[in-house]
Amino acid sequence: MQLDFHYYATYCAACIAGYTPEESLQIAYSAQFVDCCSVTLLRKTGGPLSAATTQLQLEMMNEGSDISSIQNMTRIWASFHFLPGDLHAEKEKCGRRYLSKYRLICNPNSSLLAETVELVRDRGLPAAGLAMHILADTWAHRYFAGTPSLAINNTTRYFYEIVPEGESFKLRPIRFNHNPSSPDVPEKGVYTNSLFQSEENSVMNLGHGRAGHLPDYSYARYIYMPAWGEYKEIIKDNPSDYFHAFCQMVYALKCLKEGKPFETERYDAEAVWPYKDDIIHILTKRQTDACSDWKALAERISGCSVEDFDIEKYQKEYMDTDESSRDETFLGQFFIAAMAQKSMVTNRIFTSGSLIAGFSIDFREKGFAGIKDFQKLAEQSTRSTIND
Amino acid sequence: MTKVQRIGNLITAVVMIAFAGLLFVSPVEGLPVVAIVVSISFTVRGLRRLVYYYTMARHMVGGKNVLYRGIIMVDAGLFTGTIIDNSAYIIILYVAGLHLFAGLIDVLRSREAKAVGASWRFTMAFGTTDVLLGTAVIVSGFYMHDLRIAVYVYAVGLVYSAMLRAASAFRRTAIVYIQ
Repeated sequence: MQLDFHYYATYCAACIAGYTPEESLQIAYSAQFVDCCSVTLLRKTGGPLSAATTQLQLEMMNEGSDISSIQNMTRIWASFHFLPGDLHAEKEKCGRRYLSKYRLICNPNSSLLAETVELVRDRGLPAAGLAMHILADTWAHRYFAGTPSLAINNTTRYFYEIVPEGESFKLRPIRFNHNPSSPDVPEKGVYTNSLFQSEENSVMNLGHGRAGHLPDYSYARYIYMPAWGEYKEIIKDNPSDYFHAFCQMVYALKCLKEGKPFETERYDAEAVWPYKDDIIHILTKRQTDACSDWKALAERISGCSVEDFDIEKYQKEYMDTDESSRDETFLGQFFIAAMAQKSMVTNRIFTSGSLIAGFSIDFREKGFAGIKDFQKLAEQSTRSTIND
Repeated sequence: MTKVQRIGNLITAVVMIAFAGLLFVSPVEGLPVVAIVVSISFTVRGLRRLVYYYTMARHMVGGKNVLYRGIIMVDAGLFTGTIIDNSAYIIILYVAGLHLFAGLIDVLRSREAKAVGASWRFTMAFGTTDVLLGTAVIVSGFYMHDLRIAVYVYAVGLVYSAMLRAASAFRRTAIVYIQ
């Protein structure tokens, strides 16, 4: 998903869920900031490097294929962009090594999603926005894993777009090129994807790189054979998935606002109903950037103008704030929420029997150990225990 | 990282530094040794591909390609082993290619960091040095017909990789989980 959905559509969902336009803007900002919070940005602002929620292209190129780099990439991409659908999935005649990656395949409505939403409860609007990014991505990025893996994430030449034609649809073969600077041309069915790399752990095999940006375009419907799929084709219907994501965001945000427990497989289609036609129209329109359409809808729903996303917006506040109160700032809350999410997902992967996201040490049993950045989480936990 | 992986990284780092030291002491005699290492590394990579096929890629759509690539790589490694006496140009291209590619990536990274206002000078200096080293290997090898620089650059690269490995063995990697 891109800025159009993570920022403007999240804003719409928050407004429909009952948040004020100002609150909705903060939730939307945070949802989009997940795609910006790289180590490079954290170095610039002085934030904890472990709060990284994404990696720039060249940061990834710089990662090696050693175990530490793979664990670092997996922690970032599996925690924030490809939340695993079933960490205990089984597949016949497969070894542990294969299973450790197979189980990271992203899918919506997992128990991890419920934990993700519950984790941000009472942690402020930046945390809620972060969870909405993760929730939305489970729909867009389903069938791909947030770890480098040729055996899971590769695609073949069997790749067709389902293009509307009159009242019906036709299949059109997709032509992929590998030049990252060349734009996608939906009219001709030409898209950019990552280069085939036969190394299992190459960054080219991370997430949906081999399917290009197709999972990120709401209008796209396509048929392909995922590497893990035993030669069975998958039909990906983005307009339907994106609509589900939108309705689930409204439901999740209402749960957080009203203090109700979040349950999977629940969507607030009723609240979305008055805007359904407008949303479906935007989702099915063949365009690679739907920002202007979503922005117009966002302004109609909220009745106020919606400012464009500005990556710098909260950075000065964070940098100018005294070290002791930084965690109370917008970015401070975002960083804490990001580290809590990373810590939780790493723990769930670790306890499923896989080391692919690294070691997880239970603070309650063994006290603090490991990467020092996470000390902030421990301090916060101790503070809330004392307050309770 | 497990304790075994940490110890393995440390031992590998020590062996790499020792090998680099050997190359510094006798660069000309070291050339066939570099060729042997390149040959072995190709063969080992090929064998690893075959293991990868049997553990992972046989479950994958189009996984047979991995099997064929593994066989070809083993073959290439064994072939390189048979031409060790005439392998100078292969080594020059291998060493130069390695440094030029790494240098280019660092230069591009530093430009990306500069664009978002982050610190970039160190990465740029690193990338430029790598590009210069790669160029020096090509110039000295192909135009001055002196292979010592290629061996020295290869040795410096080994020391650098060894240091990174050793550092990673001591790096904190665990993540605390707080309920």
